[in-house]
Amino acid sequence: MSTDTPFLRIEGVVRRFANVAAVDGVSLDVSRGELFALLGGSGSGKTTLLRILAGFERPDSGRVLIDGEDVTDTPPWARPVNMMFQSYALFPHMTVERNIAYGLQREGLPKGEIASRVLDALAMVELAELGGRKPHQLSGGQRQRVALARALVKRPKLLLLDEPLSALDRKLRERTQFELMGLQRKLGITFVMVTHDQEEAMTMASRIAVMDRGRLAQVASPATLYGTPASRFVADFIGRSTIVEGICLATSGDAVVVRCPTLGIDATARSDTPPEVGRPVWIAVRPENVTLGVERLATAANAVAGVVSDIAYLGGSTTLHVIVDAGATLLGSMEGAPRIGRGARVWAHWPADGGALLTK
Amino acid sequence: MAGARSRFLLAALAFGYAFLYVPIVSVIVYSFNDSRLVTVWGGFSLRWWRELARNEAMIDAALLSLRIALVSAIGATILGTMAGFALARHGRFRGRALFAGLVAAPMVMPEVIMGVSMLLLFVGLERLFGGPERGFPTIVLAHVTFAAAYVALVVQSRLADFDRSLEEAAMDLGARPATVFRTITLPLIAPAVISGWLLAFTLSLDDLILTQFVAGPESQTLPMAVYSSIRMGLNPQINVVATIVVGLATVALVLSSLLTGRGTGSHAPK
Repeated sequence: MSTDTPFLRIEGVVRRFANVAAVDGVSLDVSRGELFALLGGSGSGKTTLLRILAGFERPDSGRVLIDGEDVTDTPPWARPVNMMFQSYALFPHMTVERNIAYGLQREGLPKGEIASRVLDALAMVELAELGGRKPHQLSGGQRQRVALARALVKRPKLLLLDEPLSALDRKLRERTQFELMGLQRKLGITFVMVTHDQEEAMTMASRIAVMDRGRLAQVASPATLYGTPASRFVADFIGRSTIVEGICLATSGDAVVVRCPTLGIDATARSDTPPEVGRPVWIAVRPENVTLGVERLATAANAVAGVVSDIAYLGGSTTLHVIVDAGATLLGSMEGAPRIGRGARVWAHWPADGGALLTK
Repeated sequence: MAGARSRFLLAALAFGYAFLYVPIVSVIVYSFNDSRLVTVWGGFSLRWWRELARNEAMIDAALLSLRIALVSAIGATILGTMAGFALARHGRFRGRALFAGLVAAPMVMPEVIMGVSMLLLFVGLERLFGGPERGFPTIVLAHVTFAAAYVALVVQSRLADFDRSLEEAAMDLGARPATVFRTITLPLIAPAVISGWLLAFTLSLDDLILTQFVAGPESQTLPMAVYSSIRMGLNPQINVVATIVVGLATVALVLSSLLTGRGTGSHAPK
């Protein structure tokens, strides 16, 4: 992996709409061949950032470099970038073949080459027999494939995908996720994808940038985001967790003792960068790290007693809401069907490395 | 109760349609009347159709009207499409409300007022620049002015539900703005533009008031010819002229609504 020159570099990009910064000083590097996801809720600025990469929006300040070349002032039609739109944006008055050929015709390629590349692209997305159809004669999944073929047939250096799977139903979405990943590995094209669906981002992306109100909350691999979130926002946004507030009491090595009034205990957590003693911190505990039992386990680093208030059976596992005696609501999970009833008194335990220590 | 109510609704519907269309149907029927008297049925005949075919003044007027309608519909379509684009696409530019009002004004302005003001304009222009000569050019200019408003309305409403991401996709695939307009935007709004043209054509063809103000002494359009011949007394030939005009207008309107209907049907699949 060469990391010396990033393939896509975003430098301090700011974009304001009527004095509200949709993208507020984002700097980001993406390596060649990566499948990178911009993840965030609505209004987080992820789509604006993608549109800046495509050239539809101009940043108020900052630069965008693709393969070492500054494209900040390059219009969309001259960028080595293609985009797959959320609505697919297939041209309704053209057949599937003409939709795919459109981008090649703009390059002024000879007819024979256009025809053969269109056929290849149709074969790649397994739509070889539907070339003569109009978009409104296709199913949602087929339209998605046409949009993908139309963007890839130009052999872009960078493919942008705006919520690529949001219009598909759940089953088809899961299958298409793996097809897209396979295609990306085969072609070696760098993908930058925008999504609000954290599962989609976790499944597909090699790295994820979590965006919040125009800024990057964290940029990391899915495992890092989930295991060691950088902030309460990320811990809350990715997966599910209980976040409790406390004050750092003492540190020794990577172990941190936190006094948590709403848990009623001094909890132990681990952190590579222990905070100063006395400052407010938060502990985020994932439900699957919480072991529930009627008896208190002597070996667990952290243990609190409480009452089960809600039970959600999810098939493979069960999530339980435990109201701790000191006031906090803790999420715990157990495998399979619930073996504890509502109203039962339980002990909830988690190990020292089962909670992420957050300082913001 | 429901039966009585639906019978009342049917009667109201029948009365409404009768009120609108019985006069037109009777004109069409009476164009095949053999009698010299307009109001007395004297048996079926094509006598007045043949007579009209020999009436050169009427035919000249009809040809002039057609020429005016063709040219002014083209002018109105170009200007109206541009105005529709400005209104639908350029957001809240400075003076947008004023511009929208100015575009729509000819639709609500009494035609007599428009006629007087245009006559004053053309007289003034003639005094200053020696032209344009009152007749064909001035009638075309007047018709373009008010028909463009209708074209702008049709095009604007079509553009309002136009998916902008189609144009962005074309740009993303390497098309410059002019190419995007030629290959994506124009083909997709073509139904609205064509139906705007047809509307402008029909409006121009049967305009009388405005035309009378701006027409020169030499030029007589079809509505003017019909109007002046009626003042001499009712002539059965007028029924024939009316039948032809009604036929043309019906064809244009049906075409126009077919085009807009088809447009929204196939381009908005959801």
